[in-house]
Amino acid sequence: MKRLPVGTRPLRVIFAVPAALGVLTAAGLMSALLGDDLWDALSWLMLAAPIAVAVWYLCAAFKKGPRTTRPGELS
Amino acid sequence: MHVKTIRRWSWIHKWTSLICTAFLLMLCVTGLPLIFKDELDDLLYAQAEPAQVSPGTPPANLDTIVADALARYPGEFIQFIVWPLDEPDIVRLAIAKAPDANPENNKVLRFDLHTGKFLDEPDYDSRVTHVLLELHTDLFAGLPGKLFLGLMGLLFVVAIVSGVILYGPWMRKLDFGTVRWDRTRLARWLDLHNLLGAVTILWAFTVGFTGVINTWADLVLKIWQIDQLADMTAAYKNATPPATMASVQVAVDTSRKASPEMVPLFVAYPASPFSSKSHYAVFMRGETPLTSRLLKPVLIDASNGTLTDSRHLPWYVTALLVSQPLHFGDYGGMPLKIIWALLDVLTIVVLVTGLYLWVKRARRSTAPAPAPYVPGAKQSSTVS
Repeated sequence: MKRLPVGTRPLRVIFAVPAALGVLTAAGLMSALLGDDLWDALSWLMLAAPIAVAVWYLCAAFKKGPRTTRPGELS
Repeated sequence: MHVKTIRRWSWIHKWTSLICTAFLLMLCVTGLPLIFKDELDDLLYAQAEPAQVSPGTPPANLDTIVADALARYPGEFIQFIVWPLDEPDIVRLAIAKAPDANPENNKVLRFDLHTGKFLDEPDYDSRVTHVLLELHTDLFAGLPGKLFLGLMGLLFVVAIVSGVILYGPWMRKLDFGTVRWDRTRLARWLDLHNLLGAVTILWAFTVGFTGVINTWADLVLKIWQIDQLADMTAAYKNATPPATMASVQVAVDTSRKASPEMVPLFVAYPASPFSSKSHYAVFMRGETPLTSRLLKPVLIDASNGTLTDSRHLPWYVTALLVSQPLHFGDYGGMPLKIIWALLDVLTIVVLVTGLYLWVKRARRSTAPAPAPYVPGAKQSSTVS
């Protein structure tokens, strides 16, 4: 993602990923209701997306390194 | 967004969350094993298995099964005959001391659908899954408990909506998914709360809101009785209950003929909560995951087995029935259940981090509140 100057992210950027995941979740919830087999499989894929995204960003944060104590910080 | 507006939404988010968090944690924790209720029941409790039959074997005559059940409990009454969705080779009979008794106290007898043989009478009430389910649905407090949890669910829904609104101003300075692992614990937990909240939002909203709708089930049933059921059976308003009962097999056959594209889900006997005092109500269902929730009651005059009326359920009952799978997550096989469980765990993390953020900030209440970035407003450096 292109980095924007600090503090100037417009709402459409802020909500881009959450909205996309919301759409996937909604489609996933509906899909398994509409049919079996293929519809179920589609539903698993779409509903797994939010979990995958969360795990991805958590791993990225872990990789960046553990917490280092700094003088004078609140904890 | 104006500072004042943000403050107002912060206040709403804080208080709706705080009031419901303890109950939501209980619901998420008890809900986790309940996602796998069928599997746990199979694992923990042995049940008699139905006979293996070749496909196309016709079901046994219901009248024989009913006679067998009543012979086991002389002087008692059948309230329901159920063809469970999760046990296609079984038919369950619910027996009560009176035709209009509270179904909660029913005895449940399982019969082999094809041979018509009695299988067993499971003691569902003593199962640990059942106790969990009771805690989850009504805190062991009946309808008031149920409605109370529904209210907590509504607060949760408001907390989610206010969370979405606050997410915008909070994330002005951060890329999506940033977790500042190298900063203060407060920043880290706030980021975790925001990230997990943002990805689970629609699922949490759906499960939360459908849960609220489920708490209204008893009321919805009452409204249906007063509204559609009363209308369909208006001609029988002053009729006396039938002295001799027509064959329930005939009633089911007649219903199948009236709705050939559907199959029966359950029969409600006269005077039970799902029927009038003069009718068998045969509830027919479709055969896809969605249409299996769209029921159509066929009312059969219990004195002579003839068709009285048949209509699709009104929208408010359909809304309740469709909201149930969306709450339970039981409509897409085991992978869907596992996804449901993972999303439930993420929601627990959102609840716990939210609680932590409040505790931390309440302790530092003398310090200025960590204000989110507002264009043009003076920056506070408390959070990041």
